[in-house]
Amino acid sequence: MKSIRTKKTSEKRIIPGFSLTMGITVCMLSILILIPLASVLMYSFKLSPKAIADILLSETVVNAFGTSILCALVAAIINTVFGLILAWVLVRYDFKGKRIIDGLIELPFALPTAVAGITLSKMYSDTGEIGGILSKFGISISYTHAGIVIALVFIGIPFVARTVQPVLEKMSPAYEEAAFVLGASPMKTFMKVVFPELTPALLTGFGLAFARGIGEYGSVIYISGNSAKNKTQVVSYVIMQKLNYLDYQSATAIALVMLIISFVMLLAINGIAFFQARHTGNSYEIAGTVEPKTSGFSGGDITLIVISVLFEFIMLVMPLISVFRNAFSKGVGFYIEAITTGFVGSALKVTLLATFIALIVNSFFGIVASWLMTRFKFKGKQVLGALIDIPFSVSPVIAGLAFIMMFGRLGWAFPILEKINAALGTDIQIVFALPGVVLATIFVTFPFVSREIIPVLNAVGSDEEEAAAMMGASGMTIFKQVTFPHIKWSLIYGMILCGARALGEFGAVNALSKTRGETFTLPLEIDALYLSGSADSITAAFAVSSLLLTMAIVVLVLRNIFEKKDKEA
Amino acid sequence: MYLELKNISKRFSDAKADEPDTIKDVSLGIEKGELVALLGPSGGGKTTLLRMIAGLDNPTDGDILIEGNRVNDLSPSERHIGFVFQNYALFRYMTVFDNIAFGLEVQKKDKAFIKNRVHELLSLIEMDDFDQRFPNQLSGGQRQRVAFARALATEPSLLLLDEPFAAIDSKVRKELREWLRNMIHEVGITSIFVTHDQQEAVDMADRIVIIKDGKLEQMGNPYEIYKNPRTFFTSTFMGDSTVKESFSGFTGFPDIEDGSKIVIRPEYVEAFRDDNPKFKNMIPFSENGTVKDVIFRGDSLDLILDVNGVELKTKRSLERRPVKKGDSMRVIVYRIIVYGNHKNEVLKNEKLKNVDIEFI
Repeated sequence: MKSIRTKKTSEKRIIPGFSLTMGITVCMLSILILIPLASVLMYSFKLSPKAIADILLSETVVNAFGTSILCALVAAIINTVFGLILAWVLVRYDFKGKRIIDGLIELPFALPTAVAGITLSKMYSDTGEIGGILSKFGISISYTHAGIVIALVFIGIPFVARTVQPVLEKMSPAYEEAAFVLGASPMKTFMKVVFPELTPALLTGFGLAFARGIGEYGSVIYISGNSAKNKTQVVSYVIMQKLNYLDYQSATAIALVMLIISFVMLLAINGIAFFQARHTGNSYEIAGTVEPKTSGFSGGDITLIVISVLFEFIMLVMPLISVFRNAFSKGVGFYIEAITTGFVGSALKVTLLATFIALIVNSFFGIVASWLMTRFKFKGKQVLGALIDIPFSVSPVIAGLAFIMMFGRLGWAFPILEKINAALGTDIQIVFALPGVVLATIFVTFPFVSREIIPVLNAVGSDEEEAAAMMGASGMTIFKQVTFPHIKWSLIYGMILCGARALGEFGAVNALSKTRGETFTLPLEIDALYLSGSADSITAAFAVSSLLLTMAIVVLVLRNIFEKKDKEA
Repeated sequence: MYLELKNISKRFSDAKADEPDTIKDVSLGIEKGELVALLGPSGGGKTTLLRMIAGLDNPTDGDILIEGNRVNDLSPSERHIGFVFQNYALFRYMTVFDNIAFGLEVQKKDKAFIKNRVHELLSLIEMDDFDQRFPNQLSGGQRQRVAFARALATEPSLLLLDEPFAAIDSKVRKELREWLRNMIHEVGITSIFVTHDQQEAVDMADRIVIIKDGKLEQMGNPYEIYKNPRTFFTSTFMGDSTVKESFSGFTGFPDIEDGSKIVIRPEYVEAFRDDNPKFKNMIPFSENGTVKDVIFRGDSLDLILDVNGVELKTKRSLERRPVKKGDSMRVIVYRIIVYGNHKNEVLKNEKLKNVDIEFI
């Protein structure tokens, strides 16, 4: 008798919307991220290997890679240590002002990098608040490698702290109690039991901080001094310089290496999760949370709290104060004049427009992509997830370069654009025009919303959607009635972060926008003011910065409110 | 007495003003070598009590004595205690070997000794070849055994187990109960385990301590607690019970209608047909009842009977003659538990005192 074999069928999907969300996700990802990046690759393939080698082995480029990698590495190590301490203090202790310490951690995400850059540069210069003190001991920070490290520490603070914090929160006290019952000292318990539990999160945070550090542009270029002689040029700066000289070959060759580094970092970070599954898979996880200590702090506890407070004060609060001090250093009248110039008004308009469009596009993408990523199983899900996260680990300057390589005069899409313009009788330009600014802003903020929603939807699980689908509800009804209430707050929170990042985007926009008063955004306007060098315009730069900083603070406050609401819900 | 608790009370610092104490004035003693169950409903304070014995929590009031010495201020390891956590809390990033060796390494025993001892324990739990596995590569039962071995590695004199079967599938639970009980007796270690499952307590323990709302309800061997529950809670918590508000018109029992609660377990009730020769001499003392419902329970039937307007439940073997709804049967009640004036009283059927029959 012939044996009856059931044909292998694809997984049954009860929840509707797979093809639709898959289609939208892949389309948007391709058009906005992958095709522009592929344009860089395409252009680089036209170069001969020898030409690439010559470019990469030139002294400036080798030094820039050395500087970027070394400084990013040191900064990531510093951030790992302090991030661990911060996370520990925030999870394990309860004390007055803890919420402020907690809320401030996100400041580097919310604050435009250019604002951070000029502020840190001024603070650590020989006449600045901290640099002034250090210069008396013969130590200079600004325009040295130490300065670059400080800028990279600043922008990397949230990565380790925010990846370790949830792990620590979810870690059952039973592990430590088990070690305690067996007679282990607190130090031994930490090293042998707690630390291994945190290692994957620490490595992930380290990897994210390191990847961000290598490609960082805005916060670094002012404090570094960009001197070839002192080897303080970072890679992103060199790419930007090549772009300014219209040396697209060099820019592309360098970008190619950066892309490879980013991709390797992404793979490594995904590898950590894979390694971790060896120990945490098979759902052997013990639920439980440690109650934070509210009193009876030991000397060690107090030391950790003091370190956290001091670290945040020096790295976050002082720059914050410094912006306002500098902004008002020439009086309120000057301040108002500085922020009401025509250039600022135009920049504000461009910034708000780009932010608004990026918000709408990325929120839509975020919702669709998180539905796809959390409600369906499919082949290549991991790869898709990694591709969505690409903008996190790609230098913003490369994002700018990507659009130049696609729509610029050398780009493959340029002739198509020309033909469309000829046919319609229009003169639509993308590069060095408003659409380019908008596209660059969308690129760098692409994963922000989905990244906030995905963990929430994963935690909620899809039981409710399945129940609704079995009762015959349509995809739209399920989304509106069942899913949306769960993701409401994280969506708003993701939008806030996305908006903050869009307002402050610098590197990518810098590569694509050249006309002050027309296509300049606020960060570019700050850059122009700061670099013009006169004392008045530097103060004006800080005045405009204070606007963005105020927005950043509003973002942080909102974030706190929404996070609290999210926890209550 | 090996372990003594004297007037232990516990109030957590974050307890709200109107919240009662988690543990209120509990005193008890445990003999060397005993296997004791702390039994009670969830949230009743059993685990808190166990954690205080271990030294993971401190009592607000009262003394804990081990072999006559007050140990309140000693750490768990100084108390020579082994602890098996509810979900075992095996260190996920250590192998089975390293988990079991952890306590010995802390004591800075030499490598050869540790290796020996760990392998000795691995063979005790019949997991010799699992030394290099990680906890997530084990089944629930295997994890429990590793946790057991880890707790025993430092040769503690008291073993504490917090809900040792909570993380185990109900199918293998019974088998593991037997294994754990035999193992504890083999090692000969004084042990206390927490459970909310009365069957588990009855199956395993030499003695049961019933804890409810932070108070000690009753302590004794399983038979005693089952047969002579002293409080209303114990009588309803142990066994399958029906509670009645009144009970009258039964031969052999006084009428009870004073607001006392009457607990009747299925095994206290016998139902038979009037032509059953086995019960021939008991027919004069029996009542007339009607079958209201027959429920199939797999290994037996539950009969719901209406006797004098009182609903009674009894079990019926599947080997006996079939019964159906509406059948008329003779019913005898052997005993009832009457709870009035805050204490239990077991009443036996007066008429049956001279009849030679057996019941539990």
